[in-house]
Amino acid sequence: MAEAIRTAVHATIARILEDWAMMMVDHEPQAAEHFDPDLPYYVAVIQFHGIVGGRYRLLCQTPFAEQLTRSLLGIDDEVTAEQMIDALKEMINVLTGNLLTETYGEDTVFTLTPPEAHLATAEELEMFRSPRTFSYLADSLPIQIHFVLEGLHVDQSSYR
Amino acid sequence: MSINVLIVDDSSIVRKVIERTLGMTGLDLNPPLTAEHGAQALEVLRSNWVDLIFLDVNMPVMDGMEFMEHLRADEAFQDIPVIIVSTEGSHERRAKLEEHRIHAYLRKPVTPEAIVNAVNSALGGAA
Repeated sequence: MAEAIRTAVHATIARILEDWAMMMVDHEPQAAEHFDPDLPYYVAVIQFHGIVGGRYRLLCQTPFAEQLTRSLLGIDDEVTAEQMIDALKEMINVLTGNLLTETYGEDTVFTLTPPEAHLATAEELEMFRSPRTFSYLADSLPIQIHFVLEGLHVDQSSYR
Repeated sequence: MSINVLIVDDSSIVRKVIERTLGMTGLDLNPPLTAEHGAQALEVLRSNWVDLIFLDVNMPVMDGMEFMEHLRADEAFQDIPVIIVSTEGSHERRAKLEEHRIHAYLRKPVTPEAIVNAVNSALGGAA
């Protein structure tokens, strides 16, 4: 199942960011090196419960959040912090819903908590340094995914 | 005659995306009405003529399922076509929604083509 989840994480993030946000996605294990240490980090997180429970987290910085928001809204203007937070919340919601359906099928019911997005805490940043993190470049902007099932961590290290 | 659409979703981004997509369709629409959850949507319905509803499922205060129960129980609103737009993918929840005579079920992320097709189908070509 862990292999199926890894495959589904890759497939859903590529499909949804490319088709919905018009951002080209590359799986890049070293993507974190592209983060700018001088910029704030944002985390979007959602929890789910069903035949299994867990959390799906996305880490990014302002340039990705701005580009995502502009793409979804179809605008070139400046975006507000509130719009960026809302875009990240909706993205994590859509990613998680599609991932769970792709992994467990349409006969399985999951309940998703309301998505949250906020400035990353030090503890959250540390979490993304683990080998259980999936790293990507979306339009050359780094993002990371941390997906944990209760009692089962999806280990990215064997997938590189 | 222009069509009045109500978009019910707790995400301002999704409301804007649907509104923008509707604007690109060439359909004769008035500026959409919006609500952040089912209870607010019922308030909007009590004071506005609505021809078509776009509805999310997972929302705070009153979710899409409870909203549908209220909507279909009210003689004034029971014939308004409803298009569900949700991340919800399970057959079971979808079947429960279909008991309330939803017109179409679109899974997020939705394409402009899917929205146009659903609107045309819901309005019977009137759009």
